Amino acid sequence: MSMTKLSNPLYTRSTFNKQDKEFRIGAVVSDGMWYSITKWRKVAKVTEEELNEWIERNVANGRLVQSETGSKSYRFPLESIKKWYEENDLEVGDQILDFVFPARIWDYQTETEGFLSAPLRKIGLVSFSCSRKVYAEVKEALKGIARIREDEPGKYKAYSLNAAYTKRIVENIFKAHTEAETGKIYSRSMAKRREIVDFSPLFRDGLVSFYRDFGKSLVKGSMDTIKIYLPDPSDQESQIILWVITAIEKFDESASVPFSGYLATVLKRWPYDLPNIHLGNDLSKFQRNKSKAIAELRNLNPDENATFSNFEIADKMGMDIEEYNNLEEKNVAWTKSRQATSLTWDENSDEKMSENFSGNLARETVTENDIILATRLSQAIIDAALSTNQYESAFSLISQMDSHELNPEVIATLDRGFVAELGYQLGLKTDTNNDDNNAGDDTDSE
Amino acid sequence: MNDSLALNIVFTIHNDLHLNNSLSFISSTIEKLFPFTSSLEVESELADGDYEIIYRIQQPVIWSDSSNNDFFERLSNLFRVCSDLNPRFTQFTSHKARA
Repeated sequence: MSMTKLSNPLYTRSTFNKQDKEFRIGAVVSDGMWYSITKWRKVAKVTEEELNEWIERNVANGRLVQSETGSKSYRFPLESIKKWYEENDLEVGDQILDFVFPARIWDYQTETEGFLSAPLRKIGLVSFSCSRKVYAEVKEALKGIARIREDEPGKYKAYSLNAAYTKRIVENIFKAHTEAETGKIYSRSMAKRREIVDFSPLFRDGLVSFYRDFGKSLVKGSMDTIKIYLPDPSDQESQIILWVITAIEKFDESASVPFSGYLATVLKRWPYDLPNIHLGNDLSKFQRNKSKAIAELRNLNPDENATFSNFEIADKMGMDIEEYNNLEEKNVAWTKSRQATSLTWDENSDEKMSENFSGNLARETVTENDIILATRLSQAIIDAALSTNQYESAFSLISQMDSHELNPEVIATLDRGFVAELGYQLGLKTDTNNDDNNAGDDTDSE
Repeated sequence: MNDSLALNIVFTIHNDLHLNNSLSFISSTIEKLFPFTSSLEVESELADGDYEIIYRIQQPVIWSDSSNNDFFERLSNLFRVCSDLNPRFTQFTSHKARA
């Protein structure tokens, strides 16, 4: 049994609110997630008394489960979901509401039940950094004692039952090597983790696949940052999957809250760890501070086209010029290594996309702003055509719409009245002051 | 459909819970406004997770102010009702074949 399908929802928020209360209350929890009274009441649009009466009745008959922590969080187990759908003549997996995902059920378990069956376990965690050679020795020594993972390049985490014991073994190996080959060792004796293999394969596949897609929508706001460090779309997708798996391994099922909420919270932060992971702390800090310093110098200089020497920038950053040059060299090398012909780090600290695409062949590089601008321009062309009846000009301009292909010769043939109106529609001019007879005269809208 | 007299309208839609609704809405709107003169050409998921669909719409066959006016009125309606879904023109297919 595996079902999570997005289909046409049966109800929008307004049509849902017109259904009877009993149905509304049940529909909300029919996705099998945890609901607090406040959230549940808000979505179902019922009073607390009405909801409490429903809860009391359904807890008593065993259909509703309350959080074992004693908090007022409730959920439907799988059997209750199936029964509720059957009673309401619906198929499990149907999307009832356009603002709530349908029930997530994989391998005969709801998402909540899957997490409850694979609870977090207390483990000892030892973090350390070292060279590959030392790592090989540590790995050999910890065989059968700890499981080691490379968390970031050169940084490792050893998961075991006893952090103190594991740490001693790592320390002993480190002592036999130079400081250049080894770093600091940290340990936590009470970390909590689950392994992705703790779930059944079917459940795990459904869970990761669903949240990979959901994760993509959550990191949209950070995509500009992600694209800088991971330009390849397949790398971006892999990173999102890794974040989802890490979140699954850390999520505390006993908190009686939905996993989606936890994922949304952590995915707001984790993309911003990428600069440190890919550049290291020093270079990442250098890039940020350099951008800030240039922005400050620009603010102080009235000349928009002014450029600044490395001495000026280093001085503004409070750095020694030799240290500055050293980091700048690394920065340039890193930028080149990323084949950065397709992207640049804008000096005002904004991330800037390149102009190396031609039309829609490189659609993935088109930014949100480009799309908004193109929508506005398209709308303005239609409005200008209808206002001036200059349809031929409109068609000519549309024929030039793809990026960077505006042909001055074609643009010169456009009716000037149309161009003036277009400028007006785009807000380039406050008043056209033209009628049909003098539309072409003295326009300055371009 | 004759490519030589068609233009493309691209929609970039956020791939969220409302995706299916948005797709059906666009499809039915275009069907109503441009019956028999429109076709869905491309439907794909972009790298950033957004969804892109491209409709090809035939230009008026008879070149007159009234038919052009009617055509642009319909386009205006389409852009207005779909304004939240980022509709935009790309160039005519007669000038450049689309990828």
